Amino acid sequence: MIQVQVSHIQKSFGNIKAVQDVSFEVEKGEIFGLLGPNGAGKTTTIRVMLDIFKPDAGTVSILGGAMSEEKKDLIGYMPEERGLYQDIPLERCLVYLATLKGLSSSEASQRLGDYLDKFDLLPHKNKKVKELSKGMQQKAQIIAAILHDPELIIIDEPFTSLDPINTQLVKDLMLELHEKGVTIIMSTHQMHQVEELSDRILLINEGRNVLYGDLDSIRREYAGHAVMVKTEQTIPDIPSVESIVQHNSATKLILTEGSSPQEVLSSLVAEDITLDKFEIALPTLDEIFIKVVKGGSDLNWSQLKNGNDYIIPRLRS
Amino acid sequence: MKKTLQIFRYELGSALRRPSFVFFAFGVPLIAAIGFGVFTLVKRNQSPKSETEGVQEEQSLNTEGFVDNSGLIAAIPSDLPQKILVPYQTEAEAKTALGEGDIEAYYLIPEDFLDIGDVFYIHPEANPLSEKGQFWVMRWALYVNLLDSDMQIASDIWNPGNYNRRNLSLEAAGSSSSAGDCTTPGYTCESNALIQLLPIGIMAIIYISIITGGSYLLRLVSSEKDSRVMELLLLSASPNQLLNGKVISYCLLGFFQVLAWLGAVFAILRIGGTTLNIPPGFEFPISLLVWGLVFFVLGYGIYASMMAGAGALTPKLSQYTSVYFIVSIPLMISYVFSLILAMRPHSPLAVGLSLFPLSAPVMMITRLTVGGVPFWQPILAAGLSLILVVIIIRAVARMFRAQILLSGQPFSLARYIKTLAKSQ
Repeated sequence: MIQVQVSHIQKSFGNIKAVQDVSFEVEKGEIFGLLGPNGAGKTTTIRVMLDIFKPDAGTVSILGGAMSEEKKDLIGYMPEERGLYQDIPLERCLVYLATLKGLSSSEASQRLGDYLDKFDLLPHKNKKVKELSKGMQQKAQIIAAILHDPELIIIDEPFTSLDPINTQLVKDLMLELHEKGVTIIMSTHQMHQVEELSDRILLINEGRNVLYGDLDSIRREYAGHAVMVKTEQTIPDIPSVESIVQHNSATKLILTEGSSPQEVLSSLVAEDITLDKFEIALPTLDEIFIKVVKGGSDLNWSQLKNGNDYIIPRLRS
Repeated sequence: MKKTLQIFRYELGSALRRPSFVFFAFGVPLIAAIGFGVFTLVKRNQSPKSETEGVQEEQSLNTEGFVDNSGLIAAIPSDLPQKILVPYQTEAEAKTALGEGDIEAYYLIPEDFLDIGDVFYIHPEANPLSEKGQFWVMRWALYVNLLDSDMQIASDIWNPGNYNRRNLSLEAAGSSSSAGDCTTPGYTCESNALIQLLPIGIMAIIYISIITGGSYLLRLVSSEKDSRVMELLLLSASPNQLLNGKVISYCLLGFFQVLAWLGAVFAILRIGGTTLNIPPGFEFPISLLVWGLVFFVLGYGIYASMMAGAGALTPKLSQYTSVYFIVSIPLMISYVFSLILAMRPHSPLAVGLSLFPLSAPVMMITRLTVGGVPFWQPILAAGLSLILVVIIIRAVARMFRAQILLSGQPFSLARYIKTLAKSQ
């Protein structure tokens, strides 16, 4: 079931074309990554999607039709940066925002207590929002977006200002919501977070769709001419391998033009190498992002250095 | 409606949690009324004598001296308290007495007084509030002595006509000040300046309440826009709900603020009686209180909505002061005109401004306080103001669109007027 359908939207501000042609669909219950460099039009796209801005052209369907006052209560939104009253106590701020989403004050207070506890904000509930650290404010904003149990959550840069522990906390929360069937649209430029969480992505640049689809498919599509192997033995010279790069505990074999991974595998087996792992090396989303945004052609394997150049796609159930 | 109510309740609660607002709106008038009440009580206890015991004694006159080089003053009028004017032969003696605190001041009547008419008043402190001192005492002494101690003729000259003043606007039963109050020597009418200043005072209360309520609203909208809370609010409620909730809450707060201030004025005038030397029978008219509240609500409706509209166009809280100034210019001009025209409340310009909706809230109140306004004029002014309120609120509600609220364009008067006109 499609929760959000955006079709060829355009939006300009004066002479600036913020969104030129963006289309995508979000299925119910999925975590959808909306990616793009700064100024790509992500936030404008979200605002058009949420009916905060009217599009100059194109259509938007959200939760089965046009946005309505009733639907606002079914949506949780966390704008990038700030978005909370600064001069009032945290608890009062969050309860007020939740009551505007249809919760009663008592219900909002009760739910809030649990979330504040979960996010270690309970001791700070009576502090003014401006007295909280950036990370605490970020967590508070996330709570504001989910407190009313929305069907659809849109979060803009959810991991900004969070330390690794809190980042993991938010990730776990998102996966928990995902398991409950909540649809999440996550706008970010932190690609590795998207890789861990998202099912599908849309990459926009200069207000247009650039990449759209299933994350694994995209990565395979952008996969270069290389394989990743893991073995205790020394890898011998193989004619179909152009170069060998050590990559953490594995080894990346960059293939010569015209050769195939099957040929490399046959050669390794013929050399009596015991393999613990053999797989196609897939590019990270970061690399795809840079490549697509910079308009480059194929990935330049020779420029890749040791380190986390490639990752193995996470298997999803 | 439910969300409008929630926004209303939140804004109301937020304002009432702000100590500065509570103190200014309710604390100051309360303190003024209580303070004045205590002062009146203390004064009554110190001066238990009744009014009938003599006007002069009521006013606790100081002992003053005089040096009469003209030889005019043969005797001190018998109706003045004894030793209220102490004669000295030379100025040196008077100066010594002043230095030793025997007298508060002294008069020097020069030798050629009958030719030039100058009298010098020497006193130790330059207090502008007591500058006039008790001149009337020496004046009365000179009158009587110039007329060969014929107090009746002196009294007739002092008070050549028995004027009875009747102020229709004050609607007070027996509000006319009896002639004796202001005309008998020793009972100066200076304290009645308080009543003369009443129109300006009440107009100032309405003006300040409109301007402060409007500025709170402008600041609020501007800060919500600046902090991006507006984005969340727009995804929780409609622009109309947001505007209505905010305007109504601050209007109600302003209403109670005006009520508190006018109530304090009412209480002070009521208990002030002899302390403020208010003419007997004077009462603060209830109808003025009602009109004051009506014109406050209408004025607030006009200016607060305009401020909210300006807030919608103000991307940064830091621009708040200049925007506030620009939008409140019509009200400021009305205020200045009200001050100028308070003494000519029925001039064509005053009547015109009191009917014109942008200036009516302060100008009509000024005129109503002075009195003599035909009954249809405040009704017409209120009607015209109400029409403008409806037009402006509708326009501002349309301005309260997300695209404007989230725009980062700087505020300009031209853009404001253009957007307001476009939103009609």
